[in-house]
Amino acid sequence: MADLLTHYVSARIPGGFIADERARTTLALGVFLPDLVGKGLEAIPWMPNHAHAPSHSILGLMCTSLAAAMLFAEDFRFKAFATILFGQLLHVAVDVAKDCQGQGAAYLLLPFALDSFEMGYYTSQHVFWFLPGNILILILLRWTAKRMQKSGLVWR
Amino acid sequence: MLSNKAWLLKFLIPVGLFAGLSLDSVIRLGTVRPCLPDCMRDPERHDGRRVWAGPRRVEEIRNDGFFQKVDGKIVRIRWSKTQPPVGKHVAVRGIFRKPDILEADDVREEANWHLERYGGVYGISSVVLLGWLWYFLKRFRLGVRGGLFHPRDDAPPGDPPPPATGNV
Repeated sequence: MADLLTHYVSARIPGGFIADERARTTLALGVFLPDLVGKGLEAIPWMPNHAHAPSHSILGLMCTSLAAAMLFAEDFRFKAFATILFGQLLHVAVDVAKDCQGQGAAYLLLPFALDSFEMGYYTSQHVFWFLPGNILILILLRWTAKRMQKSGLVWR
Repeated sequence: MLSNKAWLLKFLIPVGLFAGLSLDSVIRLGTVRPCLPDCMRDPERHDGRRVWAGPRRVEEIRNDGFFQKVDGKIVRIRWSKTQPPVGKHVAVRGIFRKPDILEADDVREEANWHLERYGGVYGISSVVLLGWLWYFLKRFRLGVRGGLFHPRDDAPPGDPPPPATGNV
């Protein structure tokens, strides 16, 4: 897994196009949710191996998005579902870019196929390298957002 | 579909489906992709299976490999290339052979494993999560009827429009 700051940064760029601040918050919830569910399941004592695998599969993401969206008020529920699902897909895309020694970072097609996917662009060792980069990106995005608001463009 | 009608059912169906997916993964992936502790518990069943073992401490080195501990039992890792130093954490990928041998084809040394895992991943993530929670509670209030989280009435739906410029 990448750290949640990296996942947050991955959501910040598309999130800038969302006008509703509350929907931006649920988009961030979406990028956190696969790890919250997966690591949460892993942390339960005597939980069998692979019980957390659906937390990073497409059908699993749809289930957790729908369940999480149902916790929101009815008038906001559809927005919550769409942003949480989009956020979760972003999360899995970042995770799949990781190098997991060929064992795969996510079982995307569960339960239809047991194949796991990884692209091998970074390892978990890179977390410390990501930290200053992520902070710099957030500062740049904040600065860009202010400039764009002044010029009336849509990105926030 | 996302209305309040049969709210509990609409919440429980995806939760139940997720639980079913988890159970299916435990059964099928547990057979095809066992973890090293599974192999050590039942070596006969998993003999010849490809295994990935997450970072564990190197306990002892030999010419033909090194030893690691899994749930208190010693596993012999057969590795003919450069041996990792004792005390370092390494992740291993290879073929499991009964009763307690892993024929490695890839060994990856994880420098500063504890710092990376607990400081890097969990430490940074906890701070980010707390920050997000603060923002979330500013924009949503807890409710009981019709959903747990209700957008706050005073939370703006979007940013204010930019100030008008030029001739009006």
